[in-house]
Amino acid sequence: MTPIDDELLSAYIDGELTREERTVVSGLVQSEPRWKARLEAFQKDGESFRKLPARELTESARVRAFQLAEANVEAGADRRRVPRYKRRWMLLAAMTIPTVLTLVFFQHPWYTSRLYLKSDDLHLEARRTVEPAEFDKVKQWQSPPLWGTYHPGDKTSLWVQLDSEEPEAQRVQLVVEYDFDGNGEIDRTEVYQPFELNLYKGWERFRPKTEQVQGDFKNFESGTVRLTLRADGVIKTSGTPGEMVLPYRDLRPQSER
Amino acid sequence: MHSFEQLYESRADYLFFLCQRLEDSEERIELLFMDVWRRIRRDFLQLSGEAEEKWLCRKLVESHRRIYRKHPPEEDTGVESSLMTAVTGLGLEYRWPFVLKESVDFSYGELAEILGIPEPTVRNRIARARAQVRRHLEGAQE
Repeated sequence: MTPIDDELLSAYIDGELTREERTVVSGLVQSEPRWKARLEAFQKDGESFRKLPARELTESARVRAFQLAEANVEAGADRRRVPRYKRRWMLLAAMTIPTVLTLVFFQHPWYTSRLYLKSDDLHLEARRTVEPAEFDKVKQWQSPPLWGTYHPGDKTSLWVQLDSEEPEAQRVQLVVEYDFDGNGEIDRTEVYQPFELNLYKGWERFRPKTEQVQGDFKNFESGTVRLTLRADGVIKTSGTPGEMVLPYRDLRPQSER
Repeated sequence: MHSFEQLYESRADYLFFLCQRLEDSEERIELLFMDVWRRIRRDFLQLSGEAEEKWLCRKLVESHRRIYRKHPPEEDTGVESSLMTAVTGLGLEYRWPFVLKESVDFSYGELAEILGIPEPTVRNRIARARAQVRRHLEGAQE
């Protein structure tokens, strides 16, 4: 007998065949002796199994099982617990997921809106510390070609950290120029209010306000940003010269397109 | 709805009987019986709204699976001919549908619900279990 034959016979015994199947199997049982023998053997085994003797539950076992079940619940030992192997994975996931999300959140280009002042460049990366530098009267930082979508409503800000010990270098002014399409023409200019450094040695941080703005923000398409700092004399920039926050959410260099 | 105590009073013998159909050593029968009631007590609140007999059998199967994992039976090296030896020689996935079909006469649909498997699988496993039991008994007769 094949497994299929056995399955039909077994379902026949259990009354789980369709009417058509039942007719076919019934015919086979009547006409084929080996089908008949197999059916009878299965039925006999089932009957013998049902007739197997069974012990009665003793009173002591009855009481013990009940008390054990109740005691376990009272002791709280049977609270549903996550299996240990799952707990390990959950702990690992709980540690890993926030880390990964944090990294993605801060590293993914769609959130990038900051340009950091470095030696001569405006960088998208957050590694801000550079060697302190000294320059005379004019200093420029320029970004690489950028792509990014303008997001109206996002905040903008600019701060720089400087020092000067020369009385004639106390007055400083910042100008930011945007060339959104990289054609060499300035599309937007922001002139910031001048500010004055003190004469004491030590870094000073300034967040100047805009004094004058010409042009509107647009999407960057291989465009650049240039920050110009003008002073009347020698100025020093600190290890963290400054940062610009722009109203863009996906600033990225051209090479990543 | 019953209290746990009422449920225990009315179903302890029934489950003890089924434990004897699933295991053959006294020690394992008792172990399974204790464990299934511990599990039933723990999950007692789940019973509301479910058919009692099916739910109890599901707990029995869960408990049996756990017992098997934590206390696997010792290897049987002797050749025995009894029907119970043939049944306990079945893998659990075959033993459960066979025992519950023969002892309680659940339909294939009900067994599918209890065991969490499709009906055709129930049908197939019962047939295979019957064939295996038969083979064991025939082998012992030779």
